[in-house]
Amino acid sequence: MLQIKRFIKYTIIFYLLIAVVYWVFIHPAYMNWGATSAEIKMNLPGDELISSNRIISTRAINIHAKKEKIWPWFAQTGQNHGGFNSYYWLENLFGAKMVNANIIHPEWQNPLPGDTVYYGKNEGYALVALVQKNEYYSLSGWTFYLHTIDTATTRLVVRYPSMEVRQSKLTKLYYYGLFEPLHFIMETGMMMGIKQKAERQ
Amino acid sequence: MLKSKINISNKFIALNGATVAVATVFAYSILVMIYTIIRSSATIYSIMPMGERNSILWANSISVAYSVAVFSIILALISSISGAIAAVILKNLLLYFNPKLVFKKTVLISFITAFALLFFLYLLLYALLKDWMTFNYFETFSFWFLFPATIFFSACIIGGSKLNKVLESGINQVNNTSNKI
Repeated sequence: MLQIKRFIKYTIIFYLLIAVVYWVFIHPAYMNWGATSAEIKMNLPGDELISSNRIISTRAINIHAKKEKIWPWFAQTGQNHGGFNSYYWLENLFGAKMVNANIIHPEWQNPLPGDTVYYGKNEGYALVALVQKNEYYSLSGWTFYLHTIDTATTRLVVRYPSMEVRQSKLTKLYYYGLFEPLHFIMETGMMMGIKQKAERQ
Repeated sequence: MLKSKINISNKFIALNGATVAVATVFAYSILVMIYTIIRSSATIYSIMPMGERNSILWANSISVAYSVAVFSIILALISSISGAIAAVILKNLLLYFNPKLVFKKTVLISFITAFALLFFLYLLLYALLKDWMTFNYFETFSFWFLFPATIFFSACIIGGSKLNKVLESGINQVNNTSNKI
């Protein structure tokens, strides 16, 4: 029993250490992972949908493909379509029943404002707010913006409006304790997943 | 009756049951943490170019570790209750059905208790989660059922045999005291 108690003690110390590293080093850096200061400040379509009392993250990645090769993967976003191109095996641990499409489905290539995008089977959903083929795609302010760098490279900029600042302590605990790090993992997973698929084509 | 002589309180047993439950949740969480970090890191490694790889590998790994840590603390709190209840049930079943504390019988009782409790927990989860509960994917089946069930069975059987020893020492202690008197 003494060994078990010692194991619990060391695990708690390890968890505290992880929490310190996360809050001191990782959290401040990952809010704007990959984005330049110009990209953080730039106005994106969908910004008008974000209320002023939200903390915003802007993340960016280079994709070595033209916009036209990247766009189809965004067009078919959603559990009810081609998945989120992120870590489907993690999403499925929580019953999302996610399947990431490995091909482009022509029937899902024309998303329209008001279309429903499910995050998981029987889970929450968002509505497509703004959409411009080969340019941007926004789900209630969660915007994916494509910007041409040169003939072979496109910059993908992703802006996410987080929880409203004024919330109950319990909501804040849930949001900062669990949701935000998970969202970072899944969103960057999505950005890299789309990069992989677009570059492979 | 032999059982009335044993001087080991339910509170002591419940506390130990809760401690074992917390330890098993932590052990399982660390395995999940390692698995998730390795699998997601392998994906990142295959996609990101060398110069941009390190920062995202670190950020992803620490974020995974932090999320699993938070999740495991919540689960440990819930599991400590079920661990305490399971330990007290096991103790009372052992004393009722196996008053002479025969080791083989203890293992059998622990196995049946683990099976019954697991079945009850599964029904409870199914009633609460319904369609969210899916075993369509190997990961989901392993994560929510296969591995926790294996750990629960092991903890119940090992815990039951340890409990057997504790109860035996309790009997000996009582017998020695009554012999001295």
